[in-house]
Amino acid sequence: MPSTTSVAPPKNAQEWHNPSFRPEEINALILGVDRYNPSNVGFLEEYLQTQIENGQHDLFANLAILKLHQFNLNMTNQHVVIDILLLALTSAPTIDSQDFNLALALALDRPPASIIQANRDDDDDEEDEVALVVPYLKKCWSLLRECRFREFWQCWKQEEGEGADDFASADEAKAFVEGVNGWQVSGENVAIEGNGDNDVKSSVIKEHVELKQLSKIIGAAAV
Amino acid sequence: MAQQYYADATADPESLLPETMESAAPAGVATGDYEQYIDDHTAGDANNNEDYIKEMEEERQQALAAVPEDVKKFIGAFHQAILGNDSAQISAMYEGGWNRLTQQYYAESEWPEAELLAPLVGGDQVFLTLYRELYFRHVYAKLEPNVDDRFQSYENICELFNLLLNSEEPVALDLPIQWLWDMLDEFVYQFQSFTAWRADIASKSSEEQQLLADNPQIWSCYSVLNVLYSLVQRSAINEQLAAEHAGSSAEEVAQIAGPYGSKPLYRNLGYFSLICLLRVHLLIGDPTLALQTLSNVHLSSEALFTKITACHVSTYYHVGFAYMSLGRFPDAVKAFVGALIYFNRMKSFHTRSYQYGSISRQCDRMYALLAICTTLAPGPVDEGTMSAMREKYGEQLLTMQRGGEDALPVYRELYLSAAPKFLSPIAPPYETPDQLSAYASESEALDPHTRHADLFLSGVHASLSAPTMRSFLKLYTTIDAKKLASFMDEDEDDVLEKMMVLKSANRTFGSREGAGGSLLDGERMVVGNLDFTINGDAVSVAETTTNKRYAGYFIRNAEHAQRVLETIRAAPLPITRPAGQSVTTQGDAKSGAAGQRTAAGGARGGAPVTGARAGQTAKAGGAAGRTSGNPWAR
Repeated sequence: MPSTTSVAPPKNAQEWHNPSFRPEEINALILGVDRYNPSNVGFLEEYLQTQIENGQHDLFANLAILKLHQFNLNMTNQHVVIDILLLALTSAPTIDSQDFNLALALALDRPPASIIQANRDDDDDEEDEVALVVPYLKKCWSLLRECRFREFWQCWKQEEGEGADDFASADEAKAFVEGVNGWQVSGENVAIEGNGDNDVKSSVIKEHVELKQLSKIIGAAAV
Repeated sequence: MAQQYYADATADPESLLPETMESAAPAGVATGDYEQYIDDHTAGDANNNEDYIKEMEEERQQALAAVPEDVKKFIGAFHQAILGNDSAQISAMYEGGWNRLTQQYYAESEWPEAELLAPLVGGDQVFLTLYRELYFRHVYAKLEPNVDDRFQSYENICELFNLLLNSEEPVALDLPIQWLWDMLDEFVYQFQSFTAWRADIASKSSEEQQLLADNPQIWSCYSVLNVLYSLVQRSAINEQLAAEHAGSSAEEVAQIAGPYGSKPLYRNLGYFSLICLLRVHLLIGDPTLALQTLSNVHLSSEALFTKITACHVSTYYHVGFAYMSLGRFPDAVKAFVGALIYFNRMKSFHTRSYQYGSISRQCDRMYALLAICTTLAPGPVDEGTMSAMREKYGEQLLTMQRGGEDALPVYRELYLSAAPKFLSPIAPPYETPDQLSAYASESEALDPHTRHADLFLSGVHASLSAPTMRSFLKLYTTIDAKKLASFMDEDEDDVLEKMMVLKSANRTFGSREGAGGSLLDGERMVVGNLDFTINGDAVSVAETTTNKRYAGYFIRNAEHAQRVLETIRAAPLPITRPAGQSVTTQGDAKSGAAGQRTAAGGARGGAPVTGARAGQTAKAGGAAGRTSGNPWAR
């Protein structure tokens, strides 16, 4: 995890549907009808790898891959599907994000397992990994959404095994926390600077009347 | 010339059907601009069907003789109206005559086959294709379409779109926007109906299975999208709309539109295709793409889609639902409420329309979705709409608002009944019959409708604890976290987790009023009026109070009073006057239950329906008009 991680929620949806890092060619591709052209899948998959390497997430481009899979049953690159789901799960900026569910909705639109099995080449003995992994990812995501973070980490570590352990020392944990923008360690506590969500104040909303609303009445009075 | 012939036909088109078709056909119209396509088509048909035609000719003539005279006249006149591009006449026959004759002669059977009627219209293939479109629509709406109907309706509509899209120059045909919308709406509906029918393997005979195996392209998702995207591209509608929003002049827009897009027929078809794409993308589970297709359609009260009630309601229903799938409940609520207010206002004008039933069912679904959305994201919503919703779904609303596990089945039930019928573009493997039974046994678990419901409910499940937490916090301004935990009889860490759930349930993205731009744009916002902060162990509750809103109430009532005053002023005084003078505008004031507001609205000259009726009543004459038009009499 890069140390420049920002934990403040995005202020608007711009970066979500039209991220600034999206290359122009990809943008043109997914906004036009060329997104249905199966020969573009490789192009989009390369972009997916770039996202993973750079710690970025472009949901809309990845949904275009899943759409191609949905329409072309012979195009079943399971690892790509799993990558997309994992990326959506781990990149959610806030837990109310729908990215994982949106990807899942398309990824699960596939024929029953037996058909997938029957259509697979004989020399290809890999299992239906999507079917194996999805329940686990769903469980992780629902623990996250329900803010059951302790259980989430248990669940996560169980699968990941060694290497996904706790921080080796208190210092390492401290270093991680201080690396996050706007987080400070003070004694036992972590102080998080105001981010709009943790510094709310009571307020009163007053009614506001626009002149436009009164146009009919004023118009009638003027006659 | 056609224009002239039907000059006064607009008042009551049916009564003015021409006596003999020969005399009605204005010379020269028959050689319309699209004649070249007619030739192409007759040539093609003749080659394919020559034997068939000869065999059937005699039988056909007999059958044609059996067609009621009224219907024959209607077809002839309809053909002339379309040849003459007489839009007023086409509208009147499309909306009036067709439905009247359907009720009279074809309430329980098909209209005559198009081939049968060919002699009446000189074999005009364009007209016959349009006729078949109406023919199949009638079959789908009133009868049970069989496999042949389903296949043929697809082939027919493709032929029509092919004709429009692949011509060397724009087809000189002008159809009312209501028809164009209905045509595309029906196209998507038939696709939806076919996909659902195809998915039900058990009900297929072996013949049907064979047909489906041989024709995978029929009503395939690809071909449906292909038609819609082609119409969008041919009409350059996105470019046109973008230019209009950028403030380009009409000439500049026409330049961008090109020879096709500048024709109303193509422009309107392109526009409605965008709305249909919204729907198709949503049906196959892609709400982001659905909203993306509308990026050039601004949801304003001036937009073209608001000109047609069915289209207006459908657009907001699908936009609202897409927002709901993105967890943007305030935006969903805005879309639903806008459509519902509009529909309730328009209701009195539309009860006659054959679509009234389906529009009002769609509105019922919106009330159900509104109940879900306002529970998940409480906030100020139009009071009238909310009380109408409570009338329909009050009980369910209470259960959902209480939260907890009991609420889940209610959410599910409402969602399943109110969501669009999701579908999968993946067809059962009819081409490999030995896989069919395995598919059938497993596919139930993969039913797209349940799958989407499950996904949505997983989100709902996460926030089930929010209502309880909210009602606890409401009691305090500050409280110690430990104390709160003991009140709730739970572990402190669990309580903190539930507070995080509430925090997240209160946050979403929402589009800003009048910001324009993509429907996907939105700003981070807080919903609900209760928020809190945690500092160490201390929880401080921050409540946002909204002052009661009075302005809307006063504005509504002041406007209402103004209308009443206008009505009174325009009405005759309740004293005797010489007959005939006083009947001016208020002929329809008697139209009862809808009350003053409707009467006044009609009189101020909006809706043509009311206007026409007022005229008739006026003609009907003196005394009745005078007393009934008199507001004092009530």
